[in-house]
Amino acid sequence: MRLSRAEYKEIARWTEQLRPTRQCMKMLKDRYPHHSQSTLLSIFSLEYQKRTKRTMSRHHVPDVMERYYQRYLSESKVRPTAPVLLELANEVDLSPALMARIILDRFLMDMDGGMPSKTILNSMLKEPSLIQDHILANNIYQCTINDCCYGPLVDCIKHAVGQEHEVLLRDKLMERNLSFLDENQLRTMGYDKTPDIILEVPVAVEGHIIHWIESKASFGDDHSHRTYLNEQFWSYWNRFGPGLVIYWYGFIEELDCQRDRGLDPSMRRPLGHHGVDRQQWLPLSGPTLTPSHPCGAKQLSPCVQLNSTLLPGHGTLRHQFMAPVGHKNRAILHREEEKKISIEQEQNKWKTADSVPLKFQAFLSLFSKMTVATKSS
Amino acid sequence: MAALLESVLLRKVDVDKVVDWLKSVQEGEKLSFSEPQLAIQKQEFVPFLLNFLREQSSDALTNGPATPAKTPSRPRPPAQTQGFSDKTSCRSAGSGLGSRGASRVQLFSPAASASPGNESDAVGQSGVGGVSAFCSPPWSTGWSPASRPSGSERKHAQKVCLGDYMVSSPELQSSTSSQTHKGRKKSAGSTPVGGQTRHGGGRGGPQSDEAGGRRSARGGGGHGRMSEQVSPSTPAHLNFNNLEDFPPVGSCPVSSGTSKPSRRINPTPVSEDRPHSKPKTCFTSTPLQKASSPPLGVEPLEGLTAVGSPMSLKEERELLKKEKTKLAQQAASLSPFSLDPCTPTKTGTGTESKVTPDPQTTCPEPSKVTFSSDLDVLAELYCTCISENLVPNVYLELFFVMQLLTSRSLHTHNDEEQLSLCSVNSDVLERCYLRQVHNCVYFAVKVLENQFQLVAHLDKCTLRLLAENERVASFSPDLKDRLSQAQNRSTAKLSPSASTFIHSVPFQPATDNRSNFGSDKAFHTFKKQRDVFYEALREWEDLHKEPGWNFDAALGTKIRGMMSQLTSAGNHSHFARLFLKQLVQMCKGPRTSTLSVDTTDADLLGMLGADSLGRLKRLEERLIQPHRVVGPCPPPSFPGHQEFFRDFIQTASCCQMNQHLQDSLCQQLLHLDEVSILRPSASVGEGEEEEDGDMEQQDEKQRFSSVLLLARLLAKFLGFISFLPYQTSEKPSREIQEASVALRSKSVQVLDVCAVLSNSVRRRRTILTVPWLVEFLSMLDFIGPLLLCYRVALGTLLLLYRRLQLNRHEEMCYLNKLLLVSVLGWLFQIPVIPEDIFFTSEFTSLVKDEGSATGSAGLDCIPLVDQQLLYTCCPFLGEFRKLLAAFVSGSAAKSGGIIRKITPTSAELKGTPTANRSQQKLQVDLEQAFFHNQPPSLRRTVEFVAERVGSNAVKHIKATLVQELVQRGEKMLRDGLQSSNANSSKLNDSICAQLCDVGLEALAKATRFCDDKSPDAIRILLPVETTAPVLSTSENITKRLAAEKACSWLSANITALIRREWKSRYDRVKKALGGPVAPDSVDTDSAVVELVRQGQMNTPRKKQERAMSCPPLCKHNASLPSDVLIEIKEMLSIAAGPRTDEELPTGPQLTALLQRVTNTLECRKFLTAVSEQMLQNCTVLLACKLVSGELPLRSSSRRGGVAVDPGAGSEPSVSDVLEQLAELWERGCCSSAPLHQLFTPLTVAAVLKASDTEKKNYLFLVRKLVDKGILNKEEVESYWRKLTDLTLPAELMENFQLQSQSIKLSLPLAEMQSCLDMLQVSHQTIEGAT
Repeated sequence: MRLSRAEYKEIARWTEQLRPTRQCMKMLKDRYPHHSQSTLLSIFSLEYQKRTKRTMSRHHVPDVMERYYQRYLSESKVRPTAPVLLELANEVDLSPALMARIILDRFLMDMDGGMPSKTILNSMLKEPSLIQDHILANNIYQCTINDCCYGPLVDCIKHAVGQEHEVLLRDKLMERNLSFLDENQLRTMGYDKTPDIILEVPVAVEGHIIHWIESKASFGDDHSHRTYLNEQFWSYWNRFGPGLVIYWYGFIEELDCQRDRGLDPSMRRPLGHHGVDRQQWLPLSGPTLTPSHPCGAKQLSPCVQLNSTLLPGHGTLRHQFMAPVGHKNRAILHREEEKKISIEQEQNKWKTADSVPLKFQAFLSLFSKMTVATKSS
Repeated sequence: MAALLESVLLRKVDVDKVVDWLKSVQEGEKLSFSEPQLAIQKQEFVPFLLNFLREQSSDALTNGPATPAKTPSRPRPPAQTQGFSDKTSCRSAGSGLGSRGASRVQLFSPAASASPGNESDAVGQSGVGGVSAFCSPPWSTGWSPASRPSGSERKHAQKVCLGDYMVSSPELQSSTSSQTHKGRKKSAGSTPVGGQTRHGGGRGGPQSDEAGGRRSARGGGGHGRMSEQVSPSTPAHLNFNNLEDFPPVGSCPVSSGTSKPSRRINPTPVSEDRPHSKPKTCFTSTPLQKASSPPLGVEPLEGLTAVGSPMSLKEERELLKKEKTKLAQQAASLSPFSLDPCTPTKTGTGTESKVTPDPQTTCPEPSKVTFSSDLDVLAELYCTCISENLVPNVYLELFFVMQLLTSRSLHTHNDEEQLSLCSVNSDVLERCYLRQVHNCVYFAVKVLENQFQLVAHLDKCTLRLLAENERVASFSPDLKDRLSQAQNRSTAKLSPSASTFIHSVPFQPATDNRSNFGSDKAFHTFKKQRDVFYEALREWEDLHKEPGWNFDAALGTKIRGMMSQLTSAGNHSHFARLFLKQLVQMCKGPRTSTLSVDTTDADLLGMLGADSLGRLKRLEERLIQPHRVVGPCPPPSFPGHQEFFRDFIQTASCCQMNQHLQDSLCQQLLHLDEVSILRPSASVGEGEEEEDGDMEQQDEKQRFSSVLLLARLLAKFLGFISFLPYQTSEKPSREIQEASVALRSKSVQVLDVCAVLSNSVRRRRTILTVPWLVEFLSMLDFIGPLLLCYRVALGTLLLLYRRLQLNRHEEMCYLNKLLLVSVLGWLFQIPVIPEDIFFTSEFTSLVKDEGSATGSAGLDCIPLVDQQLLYTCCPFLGEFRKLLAAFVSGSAAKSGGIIRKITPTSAELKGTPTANRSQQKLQVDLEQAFFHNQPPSLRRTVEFVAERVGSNAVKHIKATLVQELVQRGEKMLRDGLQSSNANSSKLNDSICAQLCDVGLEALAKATRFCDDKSPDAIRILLPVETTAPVLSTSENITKRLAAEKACSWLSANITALIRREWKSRYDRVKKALGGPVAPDSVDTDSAVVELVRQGQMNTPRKKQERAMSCPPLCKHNASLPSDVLIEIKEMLSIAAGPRTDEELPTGPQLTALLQRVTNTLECRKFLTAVSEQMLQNCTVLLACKLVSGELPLRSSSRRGGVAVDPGAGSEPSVSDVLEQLAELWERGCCSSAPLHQLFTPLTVAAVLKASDTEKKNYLFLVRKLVDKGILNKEEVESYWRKLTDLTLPAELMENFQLQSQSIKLSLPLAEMQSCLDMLQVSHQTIEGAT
């Protein structure tokens, strides 16, 4: 699922009015029926986090927090069963889960006099029944359970999503007989930086050689991509060469395109579509995934054929629309997107080849949302 | 010296005698001839001859950069004769002095002359100094116009220039105004000369120095020509409008339509000012010319009008005529070359001059050559100097000759006039031997003929250009033929070689993981350093071409910050290793300079594939880069990425790092220097065909060239770092020099160059050592060469150079020698190397010692160098091609012909479809990529095995196929001879042809052989633990490499091999006629393959299985934990509210959800501890919400109605759901569900608050739990007990107490107990009750 930056911006702008509640997802979905829920949630979450970072300082002032607390106290007294805290959070445009934290923090301070420990605070947020004040406990629970961007359950879901996609990725690779080392193995070998996957035998994806794969179960927007580049991708590049990043929930088409000045725009055309498992993921894939390439799903465009004599049982990680944003010598990156790694074995006689000064010496490629073919089968 | 030359030219001395003298090995030997006082040293004669030739041709040479020879300053004429020869010798002596700064390539600021007394002299004489010091862009542009010793002081005409007015001298007064413009036309930049000035020779008068200096400082000037009249001149009026006299600062040389081509002062910024490719300058262009295309044809007129000086009508008419022709020409051909500024006509010079319809050049004709016999003599002497390596740089001389060949002097003088003009002069040395283009070409062709072997080793393209040169054809058809032949033989194609596409140094656990660091901190610091380093590298790549980007400003802070962190962590050694590895990775290949071309879109190029890519690049180069002929002596430079590493070192200026780098470089270098290269087996050593080496020989060659290139790179950086502390932009004064020498000679040098060198000479390994030593020494600072160790090293190198006469047949093969001669010649022309070193005899003694020791097994005798390597090491050899191409484009424009610059090269494809090219490229890249993150030993093993197997394949073919073929041939021969007493030689031919055809099977056989043998060898050599994919990939790569190796050798050699074998067999058969010949013994497989046979490898280990396991037959198709979590979260948030009734779940919905939860929890595939726990937690919470009634079920039948409808038909009730939950928890997968939450005050309070139904449900659930053994009674009781003990907040406490009392009331302890008992006994009753 690739979005143009303009599209992304539009969604982002629209989310500005939303509160991170259960209801907002419905609104988003109604508004953008063509995008998958995960993508929308991921985008909203990213944008909401940015918003929170922007505004958090406003709420994190002692007298403001005190005011919230006092308001909560008075209102909950009046209406003990009403979702007082949730309403308050929405009113001041603060994430309910964060509001819950502030109030609980303040409450515990009242109770114990001192600063409550973080562990206690977190465990109480996780299990509100530990809170002795039942009204507060209910309010807190109401806040954390309704918040779709923050809170222990959301964190857990995010974690789970990340893990699952790593498993999916490993599955995919194993399915294709691609041999790799995963993060844990790398760590035990003493690597200082560990991508999710290092391929023991590199493969080419759409004509680009990749050594490592990083799985990101989120949407790739400019900000997060930039951050990842600085904190992870370049480090991987520095050690292992070019690699691939998968943004499972899509990414911005023009990602990092400031690096590809002078790229012929025609080169950005998709090379072909194919092989998307539409049953499972149709709602996520959107109209871009119509298999329109004449080759059909089982054929590769010429540039990605891989030699079976060289890599028996190995093939090309292939997926659509991969148009690397090359960068001169070193080529950098990116783009990619949608679904499905399909690997094929080509019979291709390998003749002596001139070795070539390769222009795209390295690049990171991104693609998102691999199909979960296994699930449908 | 002059006298000697004079005598030779006058035939007083036999040329042969002189030649013999030049050839004699005795270094110090002097030649004495007729006049006894003349004893001449070779070191003196040679520079004199060189200077003489340069001077002679100075008029004619308008193309290309100046080719000054580095002439010595020291040798003074020991004796002076009278007359002209006296003057000339003075001149040359003077020039010698002046040449300190002048007569060499000046890329660096000129060295000041040695003594103050000479200072003015130097400046005055050698425009160069001034030019490069004042206005030519330093360093980068290539050549400063190094003028040769000005012979101009004797020229009578002079040019008016500002300097002339500053100090008026009698001489200056002596020219008339009528002479002035003549003078201007003829001379630029000549020193004012009177009769006596000449006697001053090089020293000149202060005025003349001044003037010369000024002129050269202006960046312009020329030199005079001899004029027939000597008449007193007076200064002309100072005309500030005269652009010639007052050119704009920094402009191109003084020129106007009336001036003549000047070569002495060669304006450097050619490339900037004229994008259209002309190497040399021009006088047609006005100084105001800008980089943008000048208005064609108009300038000369403007120039004229601007010139206020009087001008004769006639001249003006001539000029107009010329303009007309020019305009007409432009109209005819819009080629930019038609206005080639280099090839203007010289009009208006002579009063009688004709304007030819073709103003371009006079076409040289053999018939118009004058003084041909004298030219022969000169050529012979000159060639002797070249072949005896008496000249400092052989290629420089060759370049000079090429310039002569392509000269475009535009003399349209009447030939008669010219002739008389020249012959009138009685002094042989004053004759204009090389003034006319006819003579120049004649001379050049003579020399080329003589030096044919040297020429023949140039690259194919150059040879072709030379062979197609019309001048060569007309002057020596024979030479043309030989050139064409040589062209066919030449193998050197300057193919772009591969660069590995991976730019980062792989992380290798063996050297890079934590255990290699002293502390965690050091480890983590280095982790960051690596990233910072690459960040800097990337930034440099992206931005360093941007105008105004400055390395230090942009990256300085980052790099220095990094250095200080390194220092505090003590990680320098790690960083130095990374740095060097990266350096080698990026810069080792020959293709270091291509970065400039890399602006092309990477993807586009990627699509094109190898072949087209190279062509595209070359095409692009041609289109974009003007032919900048910079001559064969470029200064040392750091092309491509090397620049980054140099700047990094400079900017970091971190002594610790430098020390580590130095240590490491030194160690690696010395290690490389010791590398053993095997000598080819003696049998092949015939040496007549260089290409026909054995396979092993080719491999060794390749290895050698890789070692050599690496060593050169490392040596350059070692030199750079070692001499970095001493670099100065200017040559220090003598006092400072002496002080520094005294100081520095006390400390030990980083590399004992003398030892290395003498060791290498002794062991005959100079072919490896010298090229890298040259790189090292090229980095010397100004003081360096004065230190004893380096001076001795330079001296040794010099002697070595002298001994490497190319045409002498020694054990060292030609190309080896050529490489050495070429790099040494280059070294001697580098500015920091003192010029006096070349023409001294102070090192003679050394050579004797060295020469005596003989080690026959050295590298020098192995043919290791090929043309490719030669051109890689000496890229400046490409200058010849540029020069000739520039000439071609010029002359083609003249004749209206097509400019053929692009040589079509299409032959290499060998039937490979182009579509596969990118494929193949990808394959090769994949291989590279594969090796990148594997341990280096893997690659070595693969390469080793491939090489061995490939070699064995060839041996195998030789032993089987070839023998078989030969035997078959023998049979055919015998049959043939028996049957029809046919012509045996014809039979021989036909059999041979048949055999060769069949021989092509060898390729397929070899490939099969490699496929068979490689995998076994690889398997046994790689570690047992290697995983299967890695192993099989390695096997496949090995197969391919081996087959490639074998096939490439076979396809090139199989025919020759069969022929050779067949020939010997044929001869034998013929001789014996019937003697059966046993085939040679069979194939000897090498040890590796043998080994393979012995044992099979055990299969590599399996990847370890996932620890958690699903139930058997699990299809892993449960919902993902995250998805289920999201659903449950939704449900819980509905329960927690606020909500609308529509949102409430129906019973079936809830059961379905729980079913999914169950499935998900059972399949462990996607579960992690965290998600599993959270999922279980959520189920418990869900149960709480259900039992407390906070999440009522919606009846699906009744829309909108909220009904707790426990027993309604098929709809699952709350209790059904609860039962489902209990079943879920009962499963092993949920053993750790946080069931305690069912008993928290919050839950219980909620239950108690709700209706009886809820209480019942609660009890029902608890009973279920106990029933199923999920909880035992004690646990439940203790939970409840806790509830009563709980100290709750006051206001709630009351409520809770009340509620719990009510529990107690309704369910007193005993009752509760009985209740529980009841539950235990039969739950049906309860169910019935509900």
